[in-house]
This record gives sequence, C-alpha cells and structure tokens, in this order.
Amino acid sequence: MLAIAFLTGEAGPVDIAEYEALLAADPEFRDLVHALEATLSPLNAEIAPREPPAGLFDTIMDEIDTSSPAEPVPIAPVSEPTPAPARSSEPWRTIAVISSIAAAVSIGAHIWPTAAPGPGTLPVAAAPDRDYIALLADDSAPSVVVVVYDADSGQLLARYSNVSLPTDDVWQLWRIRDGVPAPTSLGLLESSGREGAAELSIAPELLDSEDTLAVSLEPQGGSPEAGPTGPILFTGKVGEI
Amino acid sequence: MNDQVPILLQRVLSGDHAALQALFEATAPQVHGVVYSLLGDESRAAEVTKAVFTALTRERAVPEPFAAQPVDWLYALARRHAMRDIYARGAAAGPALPEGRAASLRAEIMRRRGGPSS
Repeated sequence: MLAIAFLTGEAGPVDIAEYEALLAADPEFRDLVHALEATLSPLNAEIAPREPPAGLFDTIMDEIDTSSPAEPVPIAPVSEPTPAPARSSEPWRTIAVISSIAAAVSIGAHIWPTAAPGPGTLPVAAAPDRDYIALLADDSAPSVVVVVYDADSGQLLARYSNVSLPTDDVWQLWRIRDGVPAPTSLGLLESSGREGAAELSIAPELLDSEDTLAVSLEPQGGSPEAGPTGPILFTGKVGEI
Repeated sequence: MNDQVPILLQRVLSGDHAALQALFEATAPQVHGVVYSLLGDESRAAEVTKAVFTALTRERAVPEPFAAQPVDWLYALARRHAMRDIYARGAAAGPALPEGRAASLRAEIMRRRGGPSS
C-alpha cells in the first residue's frame, strides 16, 4: 500500500522516506511503482494541456549543462549497504554492492529497537533535528531493513522485508562511526507482536549522516560483549533526508 | 509530431540532448497540465515541469509497463514529481491533496487494477 499511499497523497514522512529509498534501490519495488503509475495513465487524457512559461526550456538546458550525471531519484541518503560476512574481526568495515530488495511494502512489517542494552551503549547526547535514513541489506538474499529516524516524532523506525526475525536469537542494531574504535549498540530489534507495526522508543540521538548501521545476530538479551559476537546480517550507511 | 514522440524519447534516453527540445515542444503542455492539475500553482508547476525534463535526461530506458505508450511514462514522472513537491511543502500546508481527491485516486487505482494492491 506504500506505493498507492504516495500516489494518492496519503503518505506520511516515514512512508515517503521509505518510498524514496525503495524506489532508488529496489528494482521490484520500482516495477511495482511503474505498474501503479501506468494504471493512472488514462487519467492524463482527461487533463487539459497547459502551456508552460516561455523560456522554461532554456532553463532546463541550463540545468542539464551545469549538472553532472546523478542518481535518478533525488534522495541522497541511502547508499552503499555492505555485505554480511560472519564473525570477522571488523566485518562492518567491508564495503559491498547492494543486493536487490524484494516486496518490502507488501510485507511491510515494522520493528523498533528496544532500549539499548548492555555494554557498548552510547551515552545520550542531543537529539538531531534532521531526518536520517539507512537502507541495510546483505549481498545475497533480496532482503532489507530500512531504518528511518523521524525528527518530528523523535522516533527511530525500522522496517524489514523479505526476511523473518529470528526466534531463538535476536537482531541487534549497531552504530559504526569513524573515530570510534568499536561499534555502539543501539538496541535490539524486536517485533511488537502486532501485525505490521511495533512502537518502542529508543534514544534517537545516536545517528549522524556519516554513520554506518549494522544488524548482527546475537543470543537472547543481546551481545554479551561490547561489540557484536554474531554474524553481521545487514549493513548500510546513514544519510540525511 | 506525436508519432515521433517515442522516437524522440528514446533518443533522449540514449543521451541525445539535442532531441530534448523537440520532445519538450511535443509533450510539455501535457506534462505541465498534469503537474498544474495537482499543484494548482503556476510558479511551482513550472519548477516541477522543469524537474521532470531534467530528470528524464538521467533515465536510460522506458519501464516495461509503459512500453506500448512510452509518452505515458513522461506523464507518470510528472505526477510523481508533482507529488514530491506536494509532500515537500506538506508539513506546513496540511493535507497533500484536497479532501476527497486521495480517496477518488485510490478508488481509481483499485478499479483499474481490479482490487487491492501494494
């Protein structure tokens, strides 16, 4: 329903961020959007043509001449998810190519981090007043975790698709920042038990546009050590919306 | 000219910016009309129409659902960019679309697709 919500003007800020992230990175979602947009094509015939202002084409050419090739979707933040090597000394440092991401909105499950547990938890700092997003993926399966920080609500939202939360273990979210020697725990990603959504709060002040996020598989209760002990499942860079 | 639009579009997608002017002349009134119908503001509509054609030069292929009528993709881009503009000002302007418009658009999508969809 995300794609429809965008087209009908019913999408909220987090929906829009997710829509743009998926449109930029997920070929299957892009196909879905195109299919929906195509269904509206007959409406265009009902719209009266309207001459654009004189000189508009010249401004387009000026824009093209002065701009360098860019991504087709004007959302900067989502970039360079990294692969999921298991238990290397610093697996979160490895850069890889984003995998395809499938059916995110059709599954549309939401997860929120619980309170950051145990060692490695970051001291609370001032909350950012900007929105951030990270698209976390691995290098094989078409699965993804989208993490969005919405400054207006002060909440950090994670949505996952095409993948199931573990039952015996837990997912733990980590922040990796240049200059900080070890990953910092942002908490456990746990389902609310309510279909499609969960609403647990987390200290939102932990993100910066230069950060990388990672999800590791940990035993119940989270990593017993200061950093991840299990395999890194998804990684992705944080960007400002 | 209209029968030349798919060819012009393909030329633009292949990087031939010289074809853009002819494509603009053939399609800009409808693109601008779609954008204006959603925004209702000439100044903003002009900016969005500009963004549509600028973005088009960064595209490389017509999506498959528009293969039969490539020009419809241009109008779809116009609608998408207009929605982005609506959302960009949405925080201060209230609902992104006039009351009833979203419901009617959703109903139209459902009707044409034959039922609920993502």
